[in-house]
Amino acid sequence: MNDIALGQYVHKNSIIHSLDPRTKFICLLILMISIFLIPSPADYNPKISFIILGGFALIILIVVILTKISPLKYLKSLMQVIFIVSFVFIVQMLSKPSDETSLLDLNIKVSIIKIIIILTVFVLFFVFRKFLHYKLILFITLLVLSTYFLTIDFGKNLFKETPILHIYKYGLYKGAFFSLRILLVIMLSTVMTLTTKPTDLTNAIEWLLHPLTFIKLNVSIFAMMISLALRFIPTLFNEANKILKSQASRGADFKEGHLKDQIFQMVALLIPMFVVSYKRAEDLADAMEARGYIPGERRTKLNILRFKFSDYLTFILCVGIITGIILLRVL
Amino acid sequence: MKIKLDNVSFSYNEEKVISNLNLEIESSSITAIIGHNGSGKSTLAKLIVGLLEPKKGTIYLDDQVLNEDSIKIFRNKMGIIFQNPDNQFVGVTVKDDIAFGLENKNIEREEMIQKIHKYLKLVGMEEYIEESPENLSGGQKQRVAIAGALSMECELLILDESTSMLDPLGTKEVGETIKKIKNEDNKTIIIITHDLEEARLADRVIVLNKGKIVKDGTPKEVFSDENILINSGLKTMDSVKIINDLKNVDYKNKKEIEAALWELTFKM
Amino acid sequence: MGINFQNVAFRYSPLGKDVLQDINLEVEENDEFVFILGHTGSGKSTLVQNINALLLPYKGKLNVMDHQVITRYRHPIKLNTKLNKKRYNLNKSKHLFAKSNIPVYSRTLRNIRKHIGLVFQFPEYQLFESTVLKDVMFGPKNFKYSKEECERLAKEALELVDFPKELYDRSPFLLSGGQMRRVAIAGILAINPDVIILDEPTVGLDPKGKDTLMNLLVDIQKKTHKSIIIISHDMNVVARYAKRIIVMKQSRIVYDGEKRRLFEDLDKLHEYNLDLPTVSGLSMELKKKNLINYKHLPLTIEELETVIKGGDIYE
Repeated sequence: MNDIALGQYVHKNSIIHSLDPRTKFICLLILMISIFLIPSPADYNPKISFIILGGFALIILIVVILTKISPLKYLKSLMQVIFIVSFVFIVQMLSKPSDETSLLDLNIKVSIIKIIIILTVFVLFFVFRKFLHYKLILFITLLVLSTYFLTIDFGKNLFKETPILHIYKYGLYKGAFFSLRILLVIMLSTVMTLTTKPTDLTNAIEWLLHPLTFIKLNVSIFAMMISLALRFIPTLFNEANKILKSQASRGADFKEGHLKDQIFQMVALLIPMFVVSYKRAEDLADAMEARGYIPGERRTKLNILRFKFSDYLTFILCVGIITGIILLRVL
Repeated sequence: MKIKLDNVSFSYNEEKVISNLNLEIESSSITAIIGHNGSGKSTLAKLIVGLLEPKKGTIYLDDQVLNEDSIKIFRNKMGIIFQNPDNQFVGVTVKDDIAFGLENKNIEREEMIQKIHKYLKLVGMEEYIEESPENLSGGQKQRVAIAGALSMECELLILDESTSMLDPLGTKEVGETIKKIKNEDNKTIIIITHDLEEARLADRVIVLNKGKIVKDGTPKEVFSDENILINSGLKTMDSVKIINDLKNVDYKNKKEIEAALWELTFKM
Repeated sequence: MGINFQNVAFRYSPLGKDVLQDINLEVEENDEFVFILGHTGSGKSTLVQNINALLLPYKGKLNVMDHQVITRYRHPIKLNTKLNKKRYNLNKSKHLFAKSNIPVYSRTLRNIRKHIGLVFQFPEYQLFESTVLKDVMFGPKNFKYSKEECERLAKEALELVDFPKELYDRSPFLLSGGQMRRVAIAGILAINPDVIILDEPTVGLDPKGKDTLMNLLVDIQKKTHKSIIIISHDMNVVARYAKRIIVMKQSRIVYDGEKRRLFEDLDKLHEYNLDLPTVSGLSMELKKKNLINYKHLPLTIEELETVIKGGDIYE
C-alpha cells in the first residue's frame, strides 16, 4: 500500500547517494543543458553528434551503475515516457530537410474516406477493449494493417489524393537523436529522484531559491509548504482510499452508471475529502503554532548541507563537460 | 508553571463553551480535567496554551498576564499533545519531527541532535529515529509527540485526549510514558481525558460540564461521587461503582473488600 | 444462507504476504451477536472487508447470502503468464483508482453489499450531503429504490438509531460527534442489510456515548433479529455484550466460541495478547486475598456484585 509515497527514494550506500543534494540538483541542470546543446545531426556532422550523445549515454550508464539501484527501476521510469518518445521519433522522421533525396518512399495516399475508416476501427477498438484479450498484439496488428490500407491505391475517383510521405535519411538521424536525447534527460532526473531523500531535496531547493529573498519572497515558508505536502500526501491518499471504501459499502459505484451518476458519486468522495483535509490542516496549524512556529521567522536547521571533496570534483567534471560542448558549438 | 484563570469565558459563535471559569493550578502538580465530549475541556486546554483568546477574563501564567506579547515567551515553556496522532506529526521522519520545535527555538545543531537522542530514549523510541510516520502505530506517534514537547524543556505539558484514538496497546504505552515523566521531572502536567483510568495518575481531578467546574478534588473524592460523574456524561471506575452499589448491603468481609477495592482502583 | 468461509485466504498483492489464511467461519443470518477481537494488524478489518466484497479472496470458497464471491487470482505465484495476467486484470479496476486495491464493482458484488452493511471506523467521515435525511438516503438511492422508498428506509433507519426527528433537515456537519456517528450508522442501516458489521463503533466516544451506542446496537438486534458483527478492542464492552467471540492472530482465526470459556483461560488470553475485562481482574485480585470465592469468573459488575454478596453466577 505504500507505493504512493512521494518520491521513489531507494536507500543504498553509494557515492551518488552521498553527494550533496545541491550538487546533484545543479549538476542535473548543467548536464541537461549540455545535452540540449549537442549540435543536431541535421546541421552538423551526424557522426560527431552521435558520438557525443553516446559519450553522454556512457557517463549516465556509469552513474546508474554507481547508484547500485536495480536497473528495473530506471526502466520503469523510461516506460512512462515511451509514448512521447515514439511520437517525437515519428514526427522527426517524417519531417523534410531542405534538399535531400528520400531514403524510403512509403507510397501512402491519404483521403478522407480512408481516415474515417481507420478512425472508426480505432475508436471501436478503444470502446471494446475491455472485452478483448491480447490488447497489445491486437493494437500493433491494427497499426500495421492500417498502414497497409493507406498504401492501397483505390484509383482517383475516391476523393482527393494527397502527397506521398517520404522517410529521409537525415529525418531518421534526427528522429533517433531527439528521442535518445529525451531518454537521457529522463534517466538523469531519475538518478536524482532515486538517490535523494525528499527532505534533502526540499533543503536543496530552499538553498537554491535563496537569492529570491532579495525580491521579498519568503523562501523558508515555501520550503515548509513543500515538506508538509511531502508529509501529508500519503496520509491523505490513505484517507481517500478509506472514504472510497466506505462509500462503496453504501452502494456507491465509481465506475459504472451514467455520467450524471458518476459525477454525483465523485461528490460523495470529494466533499468528505475536503472536510477531512480541512480538519487536518486546522489541527496541524494548531500543533505547529503550539510548537512555536512563526512563519518567516529565523530558524536553525537539523539538516545542514555541506559540500565535500566529491561534490567539488563532480562540479568540476560537469563544468568541464558543458564548456567542451559550448566550445564545440562556437568553433 | 503556575496557572490561574480569572473569570474566563469563551464562546464559538453564539455557543458558550467556557463560562466564568475560575481555576488555579499549582506548579509541579499533575491535574486531570475530565468531562464528556463537548464539555469544553479541549477549549480550556487551547486557552491555556494561547491558541485561543478568552472572550472575557484573564489567564495568568506564573503571575503574568497571557496576551499576544507574553505568549512568545511562554510558547517555549508549554507543550501540548493533541488527540489525533497523525495531525501533529510535522516532520517527514521521527527525527525531523522532534527537530521541528527545536528549530523554531533556534537551538544549535549539535545540541539538537543530542536532545533528539536523549528524549527519544526517554520515551523508548530511539530505534525508530529514521522512521517515517506511515510506518508507526498511533501510540508510537504520540510518544514521538511527547518527546518533541519534552525536548523543548517545557515547564507545562498538556495531554489533550491524547489516547482517545489509540488501541489498548497504544493507550498503555502513552500511560507508561506519562508515569515516567511524572517521576523524572517536576513538570506541571495537565491530563485532559474522559477516561477515568487515565485520570488516576493525577493528584487532583477537576470535572468539567457545560463549561463549568462541577467538582474539584482528589481522585478518591471525585471517583466516589458517582452522581456528579453520571450527570457529566462520565462513568466511575468499576471498582468504585461496586463499592457504591453495595453500600447499603451487608456482606461478608465488607470492610476488607471495600479497602481492597479502593486499593485496586489506583493500582491496576 | 448467512456467511460461510471455507479455507479462504487473502493477500493484497499477488506476490505479497497472506493477510488472511485458512479462514473457516460460519455466521448465521439471524440472531448472532459476534465480536471479533485481535491485535492491530491481525487481519480483522481485512476479514470484514472480504465479507463485504470490498476485497476479494484469492483462494477458498466464500459464500455470502447465497452469492458466491469470486476469487481474485487463482495462481498468484505464476502471475507473469499471460493467462493469469488476464485473470488478474479482469477483477482489478482499470480506472482512476486502479492502485487502491478496490476491485471492479460488478453487479453481483454490489448485490453482496446490499446484504451486508459495513460501518467503518470513524464512519462520520463518510457524511457529505446537505441534510441528515439526504445523507442517509444516499445508500438506498444507490441501490435504485424509488424516491419514496428511499425516504421511508432512511426515516426507519434514523428511528432505529434513535435520532431526534427535528434534526433531520440539519446539516450533518453541525452535529455533535456522537450524533454524527449515529447518522453514519443509519446510512448503512438504510440499505436494509441482512447482516450488520461495525469496525470499532465506540472508539473516540466518551463513556456515556459508548454505553448509549452499544445499548442501541443491542436494541436494533432485538428489534430486527439481524446478526451483528462487531470488531472491538474494548474488553469491557466485549465482556458485557458479546455472545460469541472470534479471536484473530497473525491472519488466522485462533478462537471461535463462547465468551466465558475464552476469559477463563488465562494462558490463551495471554497468548492472543488480549486483556482481561476490568471486573475480572478485580475478581481475581480479591480471590487472591481470600475475600471472595467463585466457580465462574465474573465478567460484569453485576456478576461480581452477586459473588461478593455470596451468590453464584448461573449460566
